[in-house]
Amino acid sequence: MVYVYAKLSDLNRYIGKDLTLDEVKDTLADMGMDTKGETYEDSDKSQTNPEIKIEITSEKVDMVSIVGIARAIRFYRGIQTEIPKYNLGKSGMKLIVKDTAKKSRPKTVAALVKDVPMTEEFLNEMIEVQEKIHDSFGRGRKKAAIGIYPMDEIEFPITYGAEDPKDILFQPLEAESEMDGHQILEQHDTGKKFAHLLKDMALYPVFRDNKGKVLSMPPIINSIETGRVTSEHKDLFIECSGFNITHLDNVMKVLITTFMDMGCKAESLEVEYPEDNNQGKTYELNLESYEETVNLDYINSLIGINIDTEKVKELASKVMFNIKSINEETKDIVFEVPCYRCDIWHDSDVADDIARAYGYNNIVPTFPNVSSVGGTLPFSQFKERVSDSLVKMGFLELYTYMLTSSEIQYGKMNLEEKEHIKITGSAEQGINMTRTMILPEVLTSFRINRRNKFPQKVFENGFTIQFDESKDTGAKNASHLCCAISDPNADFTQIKEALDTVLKLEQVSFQVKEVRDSDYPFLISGRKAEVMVNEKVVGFVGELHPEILGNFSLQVPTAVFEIDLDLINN
Amino acid sequence: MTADDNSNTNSNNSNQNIKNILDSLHSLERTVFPHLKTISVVSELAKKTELKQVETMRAIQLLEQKGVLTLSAKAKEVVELDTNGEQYVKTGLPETRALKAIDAGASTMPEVEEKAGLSKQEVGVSIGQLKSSDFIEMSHGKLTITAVGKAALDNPSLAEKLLMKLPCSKSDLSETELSTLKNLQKRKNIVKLSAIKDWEFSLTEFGNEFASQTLSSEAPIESLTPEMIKDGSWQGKTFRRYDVSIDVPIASLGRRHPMVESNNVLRDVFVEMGFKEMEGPIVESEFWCFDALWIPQDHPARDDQDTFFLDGDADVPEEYVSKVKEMHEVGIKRSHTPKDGFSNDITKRRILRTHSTATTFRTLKELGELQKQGKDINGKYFYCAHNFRNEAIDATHLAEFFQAEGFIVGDDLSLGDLMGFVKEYYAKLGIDKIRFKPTFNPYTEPSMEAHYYDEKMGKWYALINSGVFREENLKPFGLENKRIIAWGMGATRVASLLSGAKNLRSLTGYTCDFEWLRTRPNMTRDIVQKVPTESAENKPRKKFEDVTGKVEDF
Repeated sequence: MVYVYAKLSDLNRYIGKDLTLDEVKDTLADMGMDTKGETYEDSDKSQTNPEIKIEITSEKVDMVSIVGIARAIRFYRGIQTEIPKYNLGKSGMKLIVKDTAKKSRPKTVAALVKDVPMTEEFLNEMIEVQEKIHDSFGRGRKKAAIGIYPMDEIEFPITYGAEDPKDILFQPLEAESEMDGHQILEQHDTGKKFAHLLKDMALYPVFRDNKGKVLSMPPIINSIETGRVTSEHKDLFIECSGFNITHLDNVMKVLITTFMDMGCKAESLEVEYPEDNNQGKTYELNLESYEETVNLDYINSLIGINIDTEKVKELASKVMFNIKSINEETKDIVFEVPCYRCDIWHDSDVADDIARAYGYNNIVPTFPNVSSVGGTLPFSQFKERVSDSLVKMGFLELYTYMLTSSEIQYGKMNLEEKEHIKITGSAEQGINMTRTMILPEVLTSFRINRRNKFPQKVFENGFTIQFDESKDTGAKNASHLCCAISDPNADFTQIKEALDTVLKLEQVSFQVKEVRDSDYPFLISGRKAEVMVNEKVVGFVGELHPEILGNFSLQVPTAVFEIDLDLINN
Repeated sequence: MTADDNSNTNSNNSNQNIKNILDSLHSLERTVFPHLKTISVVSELAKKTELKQVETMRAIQLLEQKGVLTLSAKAKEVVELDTNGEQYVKTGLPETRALKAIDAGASTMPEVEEKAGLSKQEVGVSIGQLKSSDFIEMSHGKLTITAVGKAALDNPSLAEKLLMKLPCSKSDLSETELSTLKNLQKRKNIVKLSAIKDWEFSLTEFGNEFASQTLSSEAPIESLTPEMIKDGSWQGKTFRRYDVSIDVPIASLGRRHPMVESNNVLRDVFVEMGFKEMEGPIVESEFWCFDALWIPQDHPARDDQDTFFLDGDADVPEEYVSKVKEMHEVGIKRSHTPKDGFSNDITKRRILRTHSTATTFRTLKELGELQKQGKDINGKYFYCAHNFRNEAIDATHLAEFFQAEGFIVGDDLSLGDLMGFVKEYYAKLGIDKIRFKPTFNPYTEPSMEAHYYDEKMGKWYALINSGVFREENLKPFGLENKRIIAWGMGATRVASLLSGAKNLRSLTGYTCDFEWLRTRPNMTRDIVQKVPTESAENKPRKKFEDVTGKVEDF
């Protein structure tokens, strides 16, 4: 999620109207944006210039700046209805992409921004937009990394290529002296932070000007000499590098139109590729609107409203569309969409915008006309009956976790490890597997509850994960039923009574067979058995070995059974 | 009992009231009853009635509950006999015994020793004492009793008198007794002092009237036995009246777990509305969990921080993978659709299911195949499923949680239909004030949050996320001719609302308190009616060592 923090006054300055805080919040909600958490930087509600925290949903790349948000609000509230024409000059300048580029970050796009009304504030706002795009659409600079340079310090044409890191020598921003590519990744703070984006590459990307001076090593850092923008600078060179030219083009359109909305002028330049990319051999920024043809009947049927073409015209401008033409016969509508809207992938995206303009809460809820018969799965019903039997016998149902540790599942149970799903990198310390057995988790719960009153009769009817080669993911959810009685008088008879009752009520024919002393080492020899259904072992029953009780810090005799309900149900 | 209750009692027929209480007296209360007006200290009452201290206390407490008296603690110092003291009370003090022996003719130390049955040391001490009190004298090596000594033989000594009186409260002793006590304290194991708590009571106004009544001579029947019923001996007798308003502990019953009970509530609502249950694997492939949903492979939700990645690859259905891949790379309509990269290696990776929509898409594949066979596939499906997210566990975050999800397949379903359904679903959970807000999901368009208003909290809450599946999601499964509306909600959150457990760790996992599980109120379907109850989580927390051995406050 991307959050934009906007002072109401700044927002209103770009909106061009003095809206109240509530007006802004309501408009944003109707547009689908949450204003999250504390709306005010300090909780003083009487302050006249509150700061709003706005959550921008990930598809709205054009709204990651105050300018972008203000623009959307302006349209939604009807302050502006015509989508702007962005007059982009042609600079005639060139950026040459070398063949080597494809060995690192293969693609780049670029443009020039001129007559920047540069102030400290403007500079900050510009950096803010850049960072928000990096964080969101840019996926932490991986997918798109933006570089901004003062034109005064560089000489065109610029080249973009990939070089041996040892040869990329320059003094980066925030550094005392010259460093090479390796040193930057190893020693420079920003370098270390983004090193993962380059470290597996043999060659690192680099922009150089006509004199061979390094502009930057994207997506890491600019040169202090050629890539430091100050409030002195009026004209800027802006590039964006990455892997997919469509993505980069989207970023550039959002960025340049945002700057133009802030009062800048802009010019395109020619980016020359050594070979054909997806849009031909050269790339040049184009800020013209594009067209989308969507049928009105489709919009009405998807949204569940019934509006006519007149109404569509009225609604379209609220969501930054203009209407180019309407075919009254077929109801096909040609929408004009501003270039910075990169969230229109399908007719449904246009239709949804019309719905937002209409207002979700103005749509009349209808009940879907799909008749059907409901029901649960037979196996779920079986599991429910089993749980209910145990509850009637006075057992308390537990719901412990499936994520656990081998220490609990095997270590404390004196068991050898068997096949299980391993978990690595868990944020919760100690988790390293999914359970294969419920009993150890139930015993952990007994430990937590050891000061509660006895007898403690509990059960859990839950999942374990077992390997199963016949499944596409190699594992299955295996339903286990674990039942335990902890009480000074708990014994084999009591737990067998519960087991027999559960199975007999379900009319399962089963045997309880003695096992060797070496089997089920967590149970007391001579007081343990296997449960067999159709000649297959489906579980165990017995009295817990005192050593195991000790391992779980339990001091009360405990008798248990655990059976596989999938096996029994088959 | 509050003041109001008291006045109520008084306005009732007070004679009947007194009679009822008299009839309800326990046998212990009956025993102390005659002394209530004369004694006001529990220990004294015990002495008088020869009941044990605890029995007396029980009787007094029962009477207090009936409003007869008020009880207050009284701390005091008690003088009691010690081991030797207890012996001396029976046999006399050594000096008295020695004096008696001398009076009877013993004239040497060994003779006294023998006659009085004392140890050599005791005789030594006694002789010294008797001499200094001028009770005996020594002449020509013979011990003889004096006239003073003779006189003393007739009366018990001060020390003996004091011993006879014990145990008693130190504050009840006279000046002389106190100085005697001082001397006795110097001797070995004769007396001991201890601070004990005694209880004092005073009759209430009602109690004064009550205690003036006469008890029926015959004790009422305490419990009815099978013998009594057989031989009819109950006839003509009364049964002791019980205090029927008394608090008793809750029965030790079996219960369903609130998480499961809540899931069953949601399940029941789904079934009532015509939904069929689905089922799918917890160990999933990225294909079913993300790719089939048109979630880009570089989407932040697919990062390690959010997902448990497992080793090994899953089998993925190649035919559908290539169709899904096409959606990622080309899309359906515009030339500038995402064109995101798509790796077949990533799609095969195994993970723990992060949302039940993975199972929804497995079901969509089945439905697409059924449609191909010419079957009518319109219908409704649901799942309350276990999902996993790589989070550190605390009061508001769980690494495993439940999600309830439902979808409807139809021919021309709309956003309005989705709203209608969500509205009904909410209504079944006792929610009537709702509003809708547009949002973004990668796999639905339109996408909609449904908020409900909680009057008690005075706030809006988002519980349901929903939408209409994108054509990009349906096309690979041959379902682009259908409209599918879907919604999901955090079922763990619902369980916490329905059970009143605000801390998720007291709701799920091995950290659940059995006592709360046993005694928590029954669950209704009403989400907004629920006020958080005094539950286990509000009790003082025990410290425990969790799985990892670190100490957690739970």
